[in-house]
Amino acid sequence: MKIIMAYPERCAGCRECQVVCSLTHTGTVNPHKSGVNIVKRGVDIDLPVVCVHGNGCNLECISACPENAISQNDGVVTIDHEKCTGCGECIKACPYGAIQIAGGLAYSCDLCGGVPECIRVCTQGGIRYAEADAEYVKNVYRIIREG
Amino acid sequence: MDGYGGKILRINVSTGETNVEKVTEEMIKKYLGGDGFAVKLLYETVPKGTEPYAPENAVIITPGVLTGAPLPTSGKVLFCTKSPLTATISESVMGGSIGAELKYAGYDAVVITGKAEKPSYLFINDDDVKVVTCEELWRKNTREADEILKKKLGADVKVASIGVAGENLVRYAGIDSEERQSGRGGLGAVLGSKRIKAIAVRGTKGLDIHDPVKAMDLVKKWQKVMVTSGAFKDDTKYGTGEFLEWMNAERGAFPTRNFQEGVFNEREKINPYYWAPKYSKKNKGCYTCIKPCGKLFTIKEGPYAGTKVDGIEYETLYSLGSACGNADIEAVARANELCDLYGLDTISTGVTIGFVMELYERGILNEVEIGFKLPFGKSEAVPQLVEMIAHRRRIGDLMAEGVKRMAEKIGKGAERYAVHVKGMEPPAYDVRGIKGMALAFMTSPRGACHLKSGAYALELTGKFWKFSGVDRFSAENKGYEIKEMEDFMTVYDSLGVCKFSRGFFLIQEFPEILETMTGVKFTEGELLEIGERANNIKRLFNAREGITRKDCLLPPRITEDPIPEGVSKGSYVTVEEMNAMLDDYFRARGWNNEGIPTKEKLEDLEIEDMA
Repeated sequence: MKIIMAYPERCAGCRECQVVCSLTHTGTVNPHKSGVNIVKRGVDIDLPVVCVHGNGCNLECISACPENAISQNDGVVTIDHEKCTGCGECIKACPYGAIQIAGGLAYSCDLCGGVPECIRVCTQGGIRYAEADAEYVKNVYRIIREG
Repeated sequence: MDGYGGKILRINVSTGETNVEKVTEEMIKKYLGGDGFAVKLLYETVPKGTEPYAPENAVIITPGVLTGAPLPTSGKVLFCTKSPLTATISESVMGGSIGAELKYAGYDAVVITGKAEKPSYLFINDDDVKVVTCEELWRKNTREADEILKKKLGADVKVASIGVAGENLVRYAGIDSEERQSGRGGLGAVLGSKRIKAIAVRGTKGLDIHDPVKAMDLVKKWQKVMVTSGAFKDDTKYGTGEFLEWMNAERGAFPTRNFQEGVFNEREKINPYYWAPKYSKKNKGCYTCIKPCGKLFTIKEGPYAGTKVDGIEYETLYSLGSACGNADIEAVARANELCDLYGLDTISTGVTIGFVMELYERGILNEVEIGFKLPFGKSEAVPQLVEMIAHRRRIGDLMAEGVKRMAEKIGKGAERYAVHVKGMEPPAYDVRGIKGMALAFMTSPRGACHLKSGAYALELTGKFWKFSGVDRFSAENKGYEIKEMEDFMTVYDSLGVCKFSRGFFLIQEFPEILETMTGVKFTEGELLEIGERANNIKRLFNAREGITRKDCLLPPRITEDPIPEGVSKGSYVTVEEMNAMLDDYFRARGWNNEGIPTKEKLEDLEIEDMA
């Protein structure tokens, strides 16, 4: 399956992906309610962090959610906001920090039904909608896992 | 209120006391946001005659109306204060994400006054605002301060900080956030005087958009326009230094060796056509910028190995490069990185170094006074002097005062070679051959500045917006041109949109964009009037501080020394031209010949109560 793959060596860190993700999903602009999050460190690291939908993780969020609000259908992990209480267990469980919480609800990438809006605005190739590669994912998010 | 944070936050860091007031509709219609809000708030907050380092001075932070909105390249934030370098109102605009984060926390303006007892940072966590003592931050560089605060407060906070230069009250110390800078005019020193090392912001409320569907359509429309433009290729490949070669070869107006020449003969070594492919592997963009002009410049080996800097910008290629006769791009990069880490304005820093080099070559300062030999082109001395300035070591202590005060202290005719207006060291335009820009240097409220008018593009190409056939060697008809360009650019600073997008979004595009994002209707004329109103208040502020016509005048290098070679050879601004241009500008503004706004003008702009 295709997921949003991160290429930090190309990401310029502009966060327009975060802005349009929240705009198209919530009708407001709020990068804390976005399925993509750019992690910046120092001058040289701009790392787009996005849910890998089980490719390179063990779907720890699904097991951690006490409300059964997170599920996977046809490979796509989604959060049911009807059930989510914003407890934050999923955030603690996700090995890559790909879930954010704001206003009492958790947010993560739902792949926009196969036409991701974030990809549309990325001019630098920092994120691409591409075939999932679990080994690549584990490698690119090493700095997140290692703190 | 759609598109706005909706609140103004005032914080006195002496007591930690905060006050929040709502942004009114009247304020929006009259001042728009960003720059418009900042000048109104500074004028009202800072009493006449306030010393820049006194607790009563304010640092005002204003994201623009469109900052945080989805429009590409709309992420700017403005910092404003009474400057310790120029004693005028001074503003400096930066990229990064902190402006948007302030909007997401609900603030269109933050007004910081007072003086903390101990080194502290300000933490704005949505509605929770506090001043936190943190002595471990003091003496840290900006990159370290960012890291420490993110560890302490969470990786999602956005941090703006000062370096040791701000702590040491270097008069041209700036503020850094995510490796972008509010460099000009000493804002970092004012924060340092308040013992505020950093401002950390977390805003989780987000921004309501009036018409989100249309907003996304506008994103797509403008993205397409930008990506298919010639500017996109230039910006993303070479950054702002792209026109350096043209400025030398085609215009002969690239200031070199402390403004002695307008052509840098070793320019191929600092041209991004040469260095970008070799040293830069990726771009760096400000918030929502899809055509990033920033470059991650890295040096892997040699004396400057380990250097990593977001740059090198056109202005810095001049200030730390040609202004010092420095053609070693690695030394420029290292000096640039040090300026960012210590929190120094690269323009004032470089011009100050170039000034000392000229004083050395003319025998006004000697090897003993400086500590070493310092001819133009001594590359390795440039990063070394940045260190000395930031820490106020030896000659660096004097240099930390800027060229105007240095010249006064040195005497011996040093003033003849000090290039500044109102105490502000100039940017990379040899205005002897760009006469409209010479006027813009005079009229900018913060001293010699290219951005308050942005008229360099118009002057150098002959056309922009409603102007055409402009002759850069002529001093005729420049008053109205500069007045209009200043009002235009002030609208940009009120919107929070990057000035490098001014070729895309001319003023007529904003009524639609503003209505989509905020629901508020503005006409093109109303927007320009808001710009004019803000510029009148800036002049009122400066007039109240005793800044008069004579403080606007150009230094002798511009009015007495013709450009010696190149395309602009022989050109300079005569004293008669200087005075005539200034008269012309004051007339166009509706000010008297001392530059004081008339009662009628203030009544027209509905700010007569401010005089």
